[in-house]
Amino acid sequence: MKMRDAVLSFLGCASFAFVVFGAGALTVFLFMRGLPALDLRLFFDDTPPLQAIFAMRPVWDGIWPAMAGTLSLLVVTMLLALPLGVSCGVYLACFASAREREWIGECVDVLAGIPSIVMGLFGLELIVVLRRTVLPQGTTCLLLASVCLALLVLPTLIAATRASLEALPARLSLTADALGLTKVQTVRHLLLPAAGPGILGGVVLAMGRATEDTAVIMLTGAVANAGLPAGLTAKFEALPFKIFYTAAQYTGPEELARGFGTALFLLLLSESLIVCAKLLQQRLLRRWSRA
Amino acid sequence: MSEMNKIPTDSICACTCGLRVSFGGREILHGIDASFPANRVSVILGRSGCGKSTLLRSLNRLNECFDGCRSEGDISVRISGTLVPVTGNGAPPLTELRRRVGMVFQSPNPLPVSIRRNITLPLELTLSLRRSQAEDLLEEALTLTGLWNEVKDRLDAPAQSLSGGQQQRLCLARALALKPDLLLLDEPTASLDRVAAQKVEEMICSLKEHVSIIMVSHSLQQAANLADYALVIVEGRTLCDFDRPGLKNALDDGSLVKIAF
Repeated sequence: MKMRDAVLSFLGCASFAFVVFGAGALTVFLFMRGLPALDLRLFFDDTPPLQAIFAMRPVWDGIWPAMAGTLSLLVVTMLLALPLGVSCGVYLACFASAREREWIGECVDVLAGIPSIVMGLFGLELIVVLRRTVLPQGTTCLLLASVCLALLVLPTLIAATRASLEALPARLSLTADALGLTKVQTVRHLLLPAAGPGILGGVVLAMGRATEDTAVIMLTGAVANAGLPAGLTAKFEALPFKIFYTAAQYTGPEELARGFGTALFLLLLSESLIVCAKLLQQRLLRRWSRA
Repeated sequence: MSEMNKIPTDSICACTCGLRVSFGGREILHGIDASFPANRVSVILGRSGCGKSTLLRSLNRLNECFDGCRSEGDISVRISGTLVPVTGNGAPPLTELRRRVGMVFQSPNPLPVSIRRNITLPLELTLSLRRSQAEDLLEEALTLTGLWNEVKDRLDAPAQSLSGGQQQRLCLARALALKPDLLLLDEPTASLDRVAAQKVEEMICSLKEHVSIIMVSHSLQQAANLADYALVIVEGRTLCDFDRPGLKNALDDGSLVKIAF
């Protein structure tokens, strides 16, 4: 028994060290290769920053358009996925019958198991079918990529919402029932706020996934040179695709360095999204318990 | 064993007839006939597991919130002066019933919000009051349970920061704020220390002019202190009932302990 405890604690420490070492090595490597390239030129090339930001002059070689593209992609994706994912999770946790829970849950699991490249192919096939039927002028674009990304992150949102609602103590709903609150009131005013931090955790995961996914957007509208995103039905640039493209096509050490710079920036961007979400989480928690 | 006392219909706050309740096929109550006097404290006595809480919960239909519950028989409660059935024709909507038949549980269950919101949130939601209107009722409710002076300076603190006894009085205040006709208390002092329990007991005594109270209790001492009427249940059946002097006699000569515990 003592032996087993020792082995277990050793394994625990080892896996912890492995995680720290892996994450640390990755970060150090990215910083070493990327930091020298991380300057204004990386973002805006030779275009004056303010003029670039307000789209008065195009940026040819910088990553500003890709950054704007990734952010718009993220916003549209979350606008599509968030209401759907959270409502589906709420329905599963609070309203569905046992049978519905089983088969809807099964569907969500299947959706969660779909590799992102397959989701990209689905998007491509979707637009092909649409072109042949109701939308002859349709093409791969920001909206199509967002729809596919939304489908990709939907299971994460549903699972997080459902799990954090189901983890709430049963007596909370019993209390609400005993006070004469309707089911909808209970969910809206008590259960959802109480499950908020957990749901937000799922949102962070989903946002991370949507920011970094390359396979889906590669097939559904991301291109190497599009300039700033021009609308829902236009092609767009995106950071992960830019990195992928640079890694595959770079012509010299300077371009490779810019690729590393972009990768480092993408890492910083998704980290700061996570930090923002955490701050929001704490603030929500405080406001709700006092409100 | 004494015959069941007959309470005149117009002074009944709740009654059951042939009430059978089962969970997952296992019958807990085997046909309970009982009536409880209005504006009095009625205490349901019995060993643990005999179905006291189930009987209490059937009065506000809270048993239905548990899986596999089946219930038959008639239950009526007095709402706004009229004795109405809790299900079927003439029954109030479920949420209305639960508001008018308030309940306090064995262990304090404040909502995970501030002290203030514990009182005002249910008011806003069930009575469709505006926030300012709900705030107006706040002080009254907290004063009624002797909590106002203790918490008036920290109404926005989380309710969980109160002591167990204060939390229980907050739950009582929350139920009372909804202006119930009948208050159900499920061993309200079981999880409290002696001093806190005594405070809650004093409050229960003082409340009976406002509202009819039916409570479950383990403690014979508590029943002796509080009960105007006592109903003894053994294994899901009513065994006997007592008025106040009757209960005192049965406790003094030990006959109640012999037959029921």
